[in-house]
Amino acid sequence: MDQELILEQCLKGKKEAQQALYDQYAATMLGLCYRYTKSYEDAEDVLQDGFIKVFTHLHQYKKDGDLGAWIRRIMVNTAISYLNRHRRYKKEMTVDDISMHPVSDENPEVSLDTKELIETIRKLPAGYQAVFNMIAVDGYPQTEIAELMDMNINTVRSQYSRARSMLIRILKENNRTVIKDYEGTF
Amino acid sequence: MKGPFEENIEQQLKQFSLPPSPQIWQGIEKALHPHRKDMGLIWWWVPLLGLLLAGGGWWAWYHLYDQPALPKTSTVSSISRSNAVPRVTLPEHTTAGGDKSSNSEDRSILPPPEQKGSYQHNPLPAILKLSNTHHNTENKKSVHPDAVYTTKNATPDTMLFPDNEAGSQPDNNRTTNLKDTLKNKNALVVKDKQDQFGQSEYTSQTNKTTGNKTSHQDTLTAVKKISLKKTGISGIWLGTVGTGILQSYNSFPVVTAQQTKTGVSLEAGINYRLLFNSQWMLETGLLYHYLQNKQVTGYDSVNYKFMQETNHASMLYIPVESGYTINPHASSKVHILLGGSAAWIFSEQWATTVKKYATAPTTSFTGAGGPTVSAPAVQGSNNHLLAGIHAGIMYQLHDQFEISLESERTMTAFQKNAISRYYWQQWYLQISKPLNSFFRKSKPAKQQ
Repeated sequence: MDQELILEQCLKGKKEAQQALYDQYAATMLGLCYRYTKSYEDAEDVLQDGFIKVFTHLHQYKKDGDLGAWIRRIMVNTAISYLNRHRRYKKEMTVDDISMHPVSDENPEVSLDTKELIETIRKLPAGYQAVFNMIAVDGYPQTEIAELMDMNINTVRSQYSRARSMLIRILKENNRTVIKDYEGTF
Repeated sequence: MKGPFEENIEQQLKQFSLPPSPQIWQGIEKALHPHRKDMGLIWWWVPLLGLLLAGGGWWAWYHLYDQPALPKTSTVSSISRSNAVPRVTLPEHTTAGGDKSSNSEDRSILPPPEQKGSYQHNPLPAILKLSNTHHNTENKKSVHPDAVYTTKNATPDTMLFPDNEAGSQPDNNRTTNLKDTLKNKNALVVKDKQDQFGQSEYTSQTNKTTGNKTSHQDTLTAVKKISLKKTGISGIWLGTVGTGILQSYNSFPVVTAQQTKTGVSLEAGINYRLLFNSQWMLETGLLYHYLQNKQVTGYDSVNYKFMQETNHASMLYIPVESGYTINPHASSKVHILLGGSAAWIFSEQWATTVKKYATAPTTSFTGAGGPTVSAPAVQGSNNHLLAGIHAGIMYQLHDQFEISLESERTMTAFQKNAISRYYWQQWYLQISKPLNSFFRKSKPAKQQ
């Protein structure tokens, strides 16, 4: 089905169109949700909540934008909301112990495959994991992250730096990095 | 902020995907289409309302008016057919008598079956035969005026006095008297012709046989009354206007919290009431119902966004409700009402505005988040069916005015679009006036 037709039918509440839209984006979005959570089950929960929001807010989608990007944003927002709601994540959302996680400005080249890399990112505390994902992978501006996570923008910067350093340290410990002399640093 | 490390990571992770389990879609589907259960309710209500209507109609048909006592065997169709004058052919000379032993009304006038070729019965449809069976009060036996006797064995005496033994001499006096009686009552006339056996034909002129409890004149009156009922002038038509206030208006399953809601409805139309007896009634009608409301949803805990929606809906509304009169003998009556309703929302205009609190709300509900920023409204229209139940109380003032207060709850979603489904409960006040009360005038006494 043509995407415009799918959207039109979705707005009318047609189940078939909704399923078509879901089928189109579900796998990618589950990958996204998996990056933000600590378990596959949680990722599926986020995906489900996210798609319900997608369908219930579809009338707010402006057709001139990229639908995939719009759905992605909803998924990220839903994931953050999910992390804030659940106690096991909530504790880790505010980790800010500078001594524990020193900042590094290295730019190692990662020699992991995607799955291994994701699993490594998921070892980060939930707050670091979320901030890192939002900045490094999903390209959120810091101001928006601050707004989403109810943080000061400086806290966001700080969290990202520590998340990044922690990730590089883990990668190094596992001998999964190739240090390159990248010019650009954070 | 992004360096080569981030770009390296992004390249690897951006398109990472995992196959979701089928249960996820099932969960989404369940959340998005909860009204499938409601559809079941609709299909329960439709036949239920149909049954109520049919039952009420049937009851009214048979009990609304006092019908004259019709012969037990009569039906409307047989009554109408019985207007045709039945024919009795009496032979001049007969000797045979009826079957004494028979107790059957029709059979009592028949000669014994062993009398060869003595009798021929006019083969009328059973229902017509029954309708034309009249009781003779003199000897409590039946006479079948449609029976056509063509042999000498059948006589007026065997017809009218089947007690006579076969072959015995008829009681001439009795026969003559009865014939005279029938003639005097215009029940029988002697025609100026004879049949092939030389028998005179006697024809029942008016069907007024002696001793009949119900004459055909009465029957015709009954038919006329029933015909009038068919025209639908029975019952009471009421002009009705009303207004309602939304008591609760539940969102489903959008976003998070409950919401504030305000709304008013207006309605006007006519109701039709069937009175079964002094206490029970059934009422239905057709009303135009206008509903307007405004609601504000709970806020999104991440973005502090919330939705404000306004809705204007027009619907055609068919209530079906039964009423019980608490004080049937009082001049001003109090009724208890209980029923259901079906509505077709034929025009529904809604507008959704997404707003956002500038700062985090301090309470779990709207209104505490400081100033808001509004996005442009999203508008749409819709039409669909709706079913509901309602109950209430009605005060009837001297058959002139009625005031009712009822509570209504929609059983099916008042659905605007794919986003929101709502149910409403409202209290509404109706004022009705019998339409015939507008035309009641004292008529001058009819001159004799």
